[in-house]
Amino acid sequence: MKIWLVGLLFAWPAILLAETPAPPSDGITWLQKIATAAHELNYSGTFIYQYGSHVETSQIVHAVDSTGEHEKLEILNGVPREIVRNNDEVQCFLPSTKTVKVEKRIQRKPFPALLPEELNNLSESYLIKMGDHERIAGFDCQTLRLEPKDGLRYGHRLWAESNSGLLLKASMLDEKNEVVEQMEFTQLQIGGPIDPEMLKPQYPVKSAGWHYDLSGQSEPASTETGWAVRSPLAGFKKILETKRVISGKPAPISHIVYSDGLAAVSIFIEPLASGVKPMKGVAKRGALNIYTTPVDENYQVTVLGEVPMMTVMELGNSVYFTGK
Amino acid sequence: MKYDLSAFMDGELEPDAAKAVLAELKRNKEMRDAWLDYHLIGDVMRQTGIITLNLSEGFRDKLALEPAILAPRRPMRTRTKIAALSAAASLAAVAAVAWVVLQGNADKVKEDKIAATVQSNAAMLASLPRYPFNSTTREYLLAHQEFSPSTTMQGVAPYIRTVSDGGEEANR
Amino acid sequence: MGDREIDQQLVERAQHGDKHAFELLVIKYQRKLGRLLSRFIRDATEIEDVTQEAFIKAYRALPSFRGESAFYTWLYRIGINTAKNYLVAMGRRAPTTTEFDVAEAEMFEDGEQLKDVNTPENELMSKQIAKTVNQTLQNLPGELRTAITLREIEGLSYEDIATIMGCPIGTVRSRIFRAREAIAEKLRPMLGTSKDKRW
Repeated sequence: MKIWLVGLLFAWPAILLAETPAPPSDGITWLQKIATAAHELNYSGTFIYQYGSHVETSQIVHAVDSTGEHEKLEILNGVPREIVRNNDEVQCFLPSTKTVKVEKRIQRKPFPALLPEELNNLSESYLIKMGDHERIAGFDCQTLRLEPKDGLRYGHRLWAESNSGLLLKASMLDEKNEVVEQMEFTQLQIGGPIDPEMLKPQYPVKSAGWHYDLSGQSEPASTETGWAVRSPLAGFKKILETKRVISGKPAPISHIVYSDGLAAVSIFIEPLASGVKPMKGVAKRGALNIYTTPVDENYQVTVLGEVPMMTVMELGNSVYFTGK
Repeated sequence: MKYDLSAFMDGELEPDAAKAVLAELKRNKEMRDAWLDYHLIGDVMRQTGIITLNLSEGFRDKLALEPAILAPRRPMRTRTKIAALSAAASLAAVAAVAWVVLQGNADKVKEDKIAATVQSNAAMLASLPRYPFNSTTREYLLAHQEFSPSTTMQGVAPYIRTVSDGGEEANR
Repeated sequence: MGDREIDQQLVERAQHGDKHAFELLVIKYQRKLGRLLSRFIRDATEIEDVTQEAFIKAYRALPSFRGESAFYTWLYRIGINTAKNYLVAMGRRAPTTTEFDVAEAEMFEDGEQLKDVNTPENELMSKQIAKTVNQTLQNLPGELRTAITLREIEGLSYEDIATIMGCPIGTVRSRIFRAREAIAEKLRPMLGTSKDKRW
């Protein structure tokens, strides 16, 4: 039986498949399918995020309608923090500080998907292998493994729902093949109408006592910052260089992003405020590693990304001022 | 076993036996009661405490709610001296090793080379102070998430890293 | 050997995820810490809460404890800060910095006999416990009493006690244990049977 999806039905923009095409047989196509599904389908469910013994449960809702893409993430443990995204605007609600951080993302492409060059990039750094089928949250899933070709990045294991390609579970693995971080849906509904109320923030918008932080509003155009990395790491390509305003900082900060197609690393360089001591330090949270170090006497570099510690350190230590 | 416990609490038990005592304390209520009693006796004798203060019942529940610590962020100082490399020197040393490893082979890096780098990194990492997770960190993370391919693959889910509460520092 | 080694062992285990190890430290130091905080928190019913909170804060701060100082010195600082913040939150005057000198606090503890801050029902219990311990101690054979006193009051190592008492270390260990068990046996009916949830 063929069901033809006509885009006019706002309540059912999910892909109720026209014809069920044969599932892709290669990893690259699966990745593309995964990326598409995340942005084209209606879905809602509960997912857990864990690293070490830290577990957080969240509710996620995603819907697409005539006005675009809308989604919300709400953390259920502890104080309910929320992220609400409407197309290119991301709002981050932090009740503990009564702050709403608003960030306007650059809409790089009409429909976020992995660009061909990103996919090629990926193959340079990872071996993509298809695995068995497993069930996650009651759905049959195709598994994929992305094995890193070196120690600069983590490995990934992905579980994509067999029909839609929606990513239901993802683990990141270190060089010992141990899980550093995992996200997984424990309960999920794919397709079907989404109640618009579920996409709204639970916190009263624009009420007294809440501080709106709009510093992330300005769209960073790609600019030369005058900073560069001495010898970029294998597989990582620079995908952005810009200056951006960061709340609490007196001057715009240089932001350079490197990516291997799957993992991204951000380098932030800022002038040291007078009286502030330069600092060298590290932090780690699941797959996220952070390294900060002084550079050039008057500046502080902070590198962060979902890559192993040595990658962020390597990058941080090779930042230099080009003099432009 | 309680005989060993008595010596253990005074720090006078051999390491192997100490391990056994700790294991027994975990699983045996009578042992834990003994720990409580013996310490109470000492406190009474020294008149050092509010004798009736006993947090044990409620505290266990409270402690259960705390996320378990995974490992010390810096190692404990033990009696044997840990050679302290100056931060700059050690970093340079590690960077040199890492550099060779990373740039050596475009496609393959040997397992043992990765292991060696990770180990030397670990030693040096252990000596670095901890970078705090605060509102500025969150700003960086938000800016970073925008360009991370994980957002492409997973929609809003990866943003959880930005608002995750892993021992968050509320205000500066 | 001694206190510091034990504490270090337990702290290390706690730092590696063993919550039980931390609970043992709590039992060991709870009364001592409670006593310290009672200098600032006058209300007996609040002391337990604040002491508990101090231990939780200590647990959270544990990853950054490196063993430069003794564990309980570090714990005391956290306790004092907890008490200070508590007072501020309650809108009460927080003692000035000079009062928070930890070294001073320790001296204060050993030197003076502070009146225990107790609720009425605890007052009675407290007296009974003290009485039981002291009486049992007095009735012990001399060598047991001496051994446990040298250990608990003088803080001597087994080796030193062995030298003073002119006996092998094994005998010291045995005497201390027997003294403890004898007193504990008398205490247990008061503190609840092992069926009751004491821990």
